[in-house]
Amino acid sequence: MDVLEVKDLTTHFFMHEAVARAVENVSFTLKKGETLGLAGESGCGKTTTALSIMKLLPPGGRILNGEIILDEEDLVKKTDREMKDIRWKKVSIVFQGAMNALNPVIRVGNQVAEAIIEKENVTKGEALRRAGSLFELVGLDSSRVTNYPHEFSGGMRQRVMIAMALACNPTVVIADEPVTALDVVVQTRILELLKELQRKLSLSVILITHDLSVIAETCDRVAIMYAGKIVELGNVVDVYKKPLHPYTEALITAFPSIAGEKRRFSSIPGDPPDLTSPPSGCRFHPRCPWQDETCRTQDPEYRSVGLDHYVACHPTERLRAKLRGERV
Amino acid sequence: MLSVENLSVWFPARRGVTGIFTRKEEWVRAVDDVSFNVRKGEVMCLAGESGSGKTTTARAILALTRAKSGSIEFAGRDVLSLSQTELRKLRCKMQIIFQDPYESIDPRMSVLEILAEPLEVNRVAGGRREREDRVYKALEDVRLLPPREFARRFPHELSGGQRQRVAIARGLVLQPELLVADEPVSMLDASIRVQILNLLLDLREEYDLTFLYITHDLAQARYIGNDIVIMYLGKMMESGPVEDVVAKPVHPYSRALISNVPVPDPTLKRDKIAVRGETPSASDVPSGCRFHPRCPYAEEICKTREPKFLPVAGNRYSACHFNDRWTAQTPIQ
Repeated sequence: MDVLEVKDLTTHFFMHEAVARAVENVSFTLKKGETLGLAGESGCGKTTTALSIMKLLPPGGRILNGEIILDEEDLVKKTDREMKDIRWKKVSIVFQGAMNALNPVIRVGNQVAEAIIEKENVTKGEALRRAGSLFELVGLDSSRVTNYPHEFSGGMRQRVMIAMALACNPTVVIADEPVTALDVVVQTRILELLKELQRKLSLSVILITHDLSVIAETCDRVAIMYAGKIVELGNVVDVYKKPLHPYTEALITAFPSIAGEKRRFSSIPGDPPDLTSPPSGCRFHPRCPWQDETCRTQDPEYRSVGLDHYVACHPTERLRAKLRGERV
Repeated sequence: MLSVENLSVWFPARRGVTGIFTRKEEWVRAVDDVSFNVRKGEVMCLAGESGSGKTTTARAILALTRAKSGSIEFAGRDVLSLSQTELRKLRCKMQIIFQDPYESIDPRMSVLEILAEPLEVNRVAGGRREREDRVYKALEDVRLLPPREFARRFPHELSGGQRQRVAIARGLVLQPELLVADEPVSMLDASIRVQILNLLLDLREEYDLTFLYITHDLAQARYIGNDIVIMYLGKMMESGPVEDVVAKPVHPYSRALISNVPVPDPTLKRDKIAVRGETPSASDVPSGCRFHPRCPYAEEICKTREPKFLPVAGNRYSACHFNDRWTAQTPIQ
């Protein structure tokens, strides 16, 4: 069952002299209880996609087209006021680097309680009690609600942020780079916590990260974004083992690993494009070794090519051979 | 080429109000008794999590941070006993590349000015023509082509990857023998990361350059390095050829660390060794073995006696009281 459906989402940023086409025609669904990875390099539109779903775009950001269906309601059509009842209650987000955004002079329990009071009509005592049980849920001792942020390590602060995101029992949680600044041992624990919470509360999670290793170990499906578009989406094993899009293929086969055979990678030439003037046709074509005339002029359609596997690449001989399972 | 022996770098800890009265000296032992050798033409990786002392070690080698004790020998000279003038001369032979190319190069200078500056400051390459030629050569070395066009540009006209290439070119322009690279690709995106790593590997080939490569990312260390030193809280935990250490780590800390590194392969299920807590502060170093409060195998002796850094096989060393136990479990070469 799909809990969230994003259809043809297009979000642009209107700046002084230019328009950045940050997200264009992005479509995906999120199933109940699954973790969907949203991967890509900086500026590919993964965070903008998340902020569009939350309707928390920074100034200049506007959703121009598309639908975001959550609980049979289109969030795009919701007013700010209506979004207040949806945000945190139905869909919440753990922001990138948010663990450093806790107020240093307020006890963490009060900060969590404040968030609960803001959303629900409860007394302060009740909110604090709930903060305590949320702490237990994320693996912190409930007595620590009276501590200040500096008494917590980075990993523990991230747990507090997760507790806050869960405060109003949302069905969908978006985690934007939740482990990026943490040491690997702590990373593992936070990712395991997310998995455990997901099972316990049957949450649906969108995990945003640039780290393909983190996605490989935690996600059921993955959407690879490039320059504001999803270029490929599918279950992680299909996408990692039989990547169809040339960008996915180059990215995944050239990601350093501590396991497997040691070899020299070939790199993708060039840089990601400036989204105020993206390339014509396929946005990846200037860096693609397979590009031809069609790629330079026509934007490839994002289409289904197998069981829950989508790709946005022209049906060239290469792609057809790949789909037949041949090595190219 | 580079030999570091018993290097310690301690910083005086900021004393609180009570400190003023007690007159107690407190130190942050950022680097404690570190020794290793780097052979000419190799890439030596210093790896560890935040607070492990890897960057401080590198800064001490370049004499950018004062060492408390120990010796550093580079190209036959004792770095710690040199005068400022001699040090300046020696620094032409060892250069550093920093992590963030948005901060390490001056946005108001053109690429030509950025690269000519080290030549002027160190009074090498006398004439303007000669300086420019060396700048163009350095730009060619980092594949910013055509060099004359890139020399005219300013940092804001460059992408992140190109900026880091400029930072590398600045490291190369003095034709050093040792290049210290402090997390040079950590700020870069995956597709650019491999470009830069490959560039560094090419430069090593072309000029027989020696690298001291600092990273928290063991996958990167494995991709680029020959040898590795794994540090924790200022101490060396384990060292040896990267490939061997990553495949069969000995020390409980490296074993835990390596088991927890995620791999980009969803079909590979690896067992992760759980480690309690998080790295303590360097101003409050645990007694005995620094890893003991978090070590799943700690025993009584670990709390009181600091283990020595001892050979376990071939070129491999580990600092654990129970080295024999781990090498017996997984025989290493």
